[in-house]
Amino acid sequence: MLQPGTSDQTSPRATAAGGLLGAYDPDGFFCELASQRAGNPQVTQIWQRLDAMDRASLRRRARLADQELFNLGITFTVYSDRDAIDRVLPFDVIPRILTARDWDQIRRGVEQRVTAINLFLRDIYNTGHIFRDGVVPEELVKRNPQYRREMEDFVPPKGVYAHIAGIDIVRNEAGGFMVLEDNARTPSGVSYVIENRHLMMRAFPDLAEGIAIADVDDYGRQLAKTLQAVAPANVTGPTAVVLTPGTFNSAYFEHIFLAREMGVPLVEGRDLVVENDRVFMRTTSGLEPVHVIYRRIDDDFLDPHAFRKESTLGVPGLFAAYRKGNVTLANAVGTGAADDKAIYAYMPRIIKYYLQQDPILNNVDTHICREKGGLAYTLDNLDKLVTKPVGGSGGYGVVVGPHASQKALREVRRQVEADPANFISQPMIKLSVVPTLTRQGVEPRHVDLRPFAVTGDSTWVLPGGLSRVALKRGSLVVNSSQGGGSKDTWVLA
Amino acid sequence: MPSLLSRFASDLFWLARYLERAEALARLIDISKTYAGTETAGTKWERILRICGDRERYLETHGDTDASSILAFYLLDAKNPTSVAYALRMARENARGARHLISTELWTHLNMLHNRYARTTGRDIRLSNVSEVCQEIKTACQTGEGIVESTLARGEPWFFYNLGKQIERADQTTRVLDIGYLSLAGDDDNAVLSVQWNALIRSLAGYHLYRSKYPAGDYARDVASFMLFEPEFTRSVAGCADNIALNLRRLKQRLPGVPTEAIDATQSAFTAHLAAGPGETLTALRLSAYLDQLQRDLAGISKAVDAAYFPED
Repeated sequence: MLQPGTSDQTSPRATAAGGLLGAYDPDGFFCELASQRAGNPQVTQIWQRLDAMDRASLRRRARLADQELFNLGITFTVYSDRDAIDRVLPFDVIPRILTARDWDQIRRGVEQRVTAINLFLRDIYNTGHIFRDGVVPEELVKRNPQYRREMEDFVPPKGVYAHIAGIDIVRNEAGGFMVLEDNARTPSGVSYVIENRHLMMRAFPDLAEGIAIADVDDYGRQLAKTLQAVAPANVTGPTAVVLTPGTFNSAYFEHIFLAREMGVPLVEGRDLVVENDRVFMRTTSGLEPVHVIYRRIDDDFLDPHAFRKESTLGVPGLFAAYRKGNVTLANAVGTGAADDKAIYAYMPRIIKYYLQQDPILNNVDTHICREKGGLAYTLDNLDKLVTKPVGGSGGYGVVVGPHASQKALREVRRQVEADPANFISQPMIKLSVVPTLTRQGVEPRHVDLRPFAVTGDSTWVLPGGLSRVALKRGSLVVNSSQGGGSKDTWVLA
Repeated sequence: MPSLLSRFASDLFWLARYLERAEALARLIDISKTYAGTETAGTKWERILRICGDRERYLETHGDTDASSILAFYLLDAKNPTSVAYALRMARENARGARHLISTELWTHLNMLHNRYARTTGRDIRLSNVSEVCQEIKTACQTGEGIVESTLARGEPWFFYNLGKQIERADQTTRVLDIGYLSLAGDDDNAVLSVQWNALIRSLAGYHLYRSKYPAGDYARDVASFMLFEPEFTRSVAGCADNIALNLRRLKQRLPGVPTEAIDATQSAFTAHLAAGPGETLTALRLSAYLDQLQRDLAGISKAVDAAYFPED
């Protein structure tokens, strides 16, 4: 979507000889900073302040920020055969800016999308109107391994399934925002949004001085309020907990963060017990009831009685307690049926079907290889397209045609031909860039954005979101598992 | 407000024990170094292995009993459960388990402390800087203690933390006394003796108090009496026993529904044994047996607390 006024692509003029951004060149991509300076005094001011900084000071502050992350233990753990190594998610000190106008579109678009996702989930697990009306093929949904028959004919409190959602958004060379992926299961990364801000305000108080930036500190309170709102109806003063797979999980830091922000216990499966379809936690004075569980464990491992029998992370009997309405799970079981890469292609139609509205945020054009036309087009244009397995996550298995070797293209062709239904393809989006501190100096690097939405009685979107940045020159893969880092995201007032 | 999860109570209890243990180990290594003097090989360094009951385990994996190998075993070997590095790792792991209940300040301190010793290698430890390293560890543990005092919630977390700390402290005092007595009481060169008894008391930061309580007298006997019974001494077993009783009482008031018969029984056994004392004629052997009994009593209390407040199911 082209937005007049924000699609200014003029290359930045060298403000002063030798200025930090003097040699910065976005190389034709939309730059979140440079392309938004025209007519925006706040962006211009940030640009000028950055430009006036010397590189040594920037590097020194970046090093201190990294050291602080490590000392704070804001790390994810990488396990090899012999060792457990704590790694810091690389943090880039130059913030990503969103203007008030951009943010307004994103916020409304995310709210709309999350509302549609919740209506869709309620519909597919109950009446199935959308199948009968021929908008989404029934077998596409029901053959998805993320579709849980166990959820049929059951509506969780207030009809909310995806209490916490993260919508991945990219921006193209014309400055238009597009949704790349929906995350309706257990999207992670919100802790970095808030920690990055704290870090940034300590390391660069001078950069933000006098500029109104939307606060991100309200997330914990909003989430706690949401969990209270969706508690089983007959409970007064419900007890909520965060359920983690444990200290060995790579996102354990985030689980701690969530429990602290909400002031609730961070429990593991072994801390919970189900008796007579009610959930309790083991405390120093015996069993005490639990009413709402923000679970950071996948459906498969949640309850060995209902799902994978060998799971030791979950709580036996939890799903039965859930179906009885004695405990609320956030997110609901089976939300993966809505954030699948194949369903993604139908999202514009799903929004229109339930809300009678046009999507505020567009999709990237998507070719569905399970459909004849989509398959033919994909195979004919593999070298131009980004090909993705529909079941994957973390960027694994994604082949970026224009950057792929002949060998990689032959391999993906073989895979797509063998199992077309497992693939979609999209045109390569020229992702927007942000000035980023690299070994070579300040250079453009590609970013995406994951805003987080919390839904109880209504949907609230945390201002900004997680800006992930591909730290390798020219790379479009922002995932932390593949060389990505993150930036603070500033929503201007 | 719901009670503390059993697992977190256990984490805080063990966080306290491991932090206290790391500090005590640093004191123990420091004092052993003082006894061994500048000797780098032979019997004096092997003694610490014997006293700690680690000799066989050590010899399984180590050929040499020289000073630096033994020091590395006690300071840096994270696989050795009686090392400082192991204690710091466990302190951090327990802190990580209860991370959301402790302050960011405490967590950051423990995380940095652990990272620092996880990076230290045998090459960084020499006989000439052992005292310095031990001093650093002590200070870092005491800083941790200070952060706990100034930030930990005054409720169940505080009671379980202090209970763990006092049980561990009493236990460690009995061990230091045991080592001191075995090393020194048999000797009869008085000039050497007084210096070394003084060093022992100094290593526990009780020198001035000891001097004021025992201006003159038989070192061995008075040191034992001071370390066991002096109520004003922060590390005396009797002082720790009072604090153990206090925290158990607070927990009982706070969690009235929990049956505590087993705790009460082990605690009275401990109090009775402590009150009876080691007997009139104090020999190293008799003292050792007495201290072993106190250690068993303390382990009994710890086990009973575990069963009452942190049951597995």
